[in-house]
Amino acid sequence: MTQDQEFIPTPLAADLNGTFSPALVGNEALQRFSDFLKALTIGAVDVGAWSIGHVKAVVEAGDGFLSMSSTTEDGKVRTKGELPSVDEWTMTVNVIVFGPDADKLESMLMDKVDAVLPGSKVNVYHAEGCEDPECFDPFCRRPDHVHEDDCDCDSC
Amino acid sequence: MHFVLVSGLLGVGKTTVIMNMMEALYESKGHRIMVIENDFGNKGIDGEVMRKYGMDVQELKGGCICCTLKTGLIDTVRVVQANMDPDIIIVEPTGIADPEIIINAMQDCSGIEIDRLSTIIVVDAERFAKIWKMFERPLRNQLKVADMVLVNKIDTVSEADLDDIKERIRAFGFDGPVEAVQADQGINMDRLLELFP
Repeated sequence: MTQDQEFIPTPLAADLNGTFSPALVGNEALQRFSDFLKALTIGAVDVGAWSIGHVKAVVEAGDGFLSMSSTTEDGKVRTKGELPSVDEWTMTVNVIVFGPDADKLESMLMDKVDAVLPGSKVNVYHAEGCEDPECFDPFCRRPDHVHEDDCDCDSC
Repeated sequence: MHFVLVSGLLGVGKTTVIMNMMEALYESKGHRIMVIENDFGNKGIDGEVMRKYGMDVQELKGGCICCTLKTGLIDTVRVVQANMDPDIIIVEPTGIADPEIIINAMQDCSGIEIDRLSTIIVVDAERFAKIWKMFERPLRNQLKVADMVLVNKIDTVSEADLDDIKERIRAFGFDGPVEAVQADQGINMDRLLELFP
């Protein structure tokens, strides 16, 4: 086992859902969700991220689908897809950054939801941990994991 | 079956490259393609996005395919090959995976018929200077197994910066093709087709 903490990022995933009343039309919804992703990225830096792995989200609303990604500290967001008129929506968000722990990221996420998407329901995924104390995989989330062999990759 | 590993550090645009590559391969050559995704944690996004755009995706979650999920990857490739017999299997590991371990696992594994194995390493032009400083060792490990390097997000850098990035990649000892692309707009993505005769 050669755990190299330097290259192990912190992941945080959450599902969100909410309603805009009145519905957002045109670019309004895209702008709002994009603002949220930007706030998450900058917020991650504010709570200690020294590098952004990625901050990604997918939004579904009616027939519309939007995927968004931000990878730079200034929170610039790239988008793909379209959202027409949006009232009810769901979002999956995935934050992977280097530096802060998951608790800090979760607290930051809740703050940004309150600020940009107030009233939304949030379900944060608290990953189950592998119970093998000698597990070499920093992302092992399987309590039933059985050791196979040592890993000699740079990250483990 | 052609096994294609599309690797690269976090946030470089691996998923966008794959989506664009699949479209080009299907349209120009009619290949049957399956993607195997390894996402962090229990809640992946990349697989969901790919499925939204009509792609066949198998997901491996809850670990890293160069670590505890290595066997899971081998099993998945076996099952996909036996049941679907695709022309190409594209594997997208997480941004921290060591591609060499995955390649070795595939080459050493009996029961999987691989006619050709290609490794595409994607790097991010926008963040290359920073990544170079912070993640030199993982980046070096990625480049040493590359058959082709894609410098993605070229819209974010100048020609001079791009030349500098290519020079640094060469300085790592990589002497294969280095292609400058903007995957989200499909720019120069046709260069990838050279890997698929």
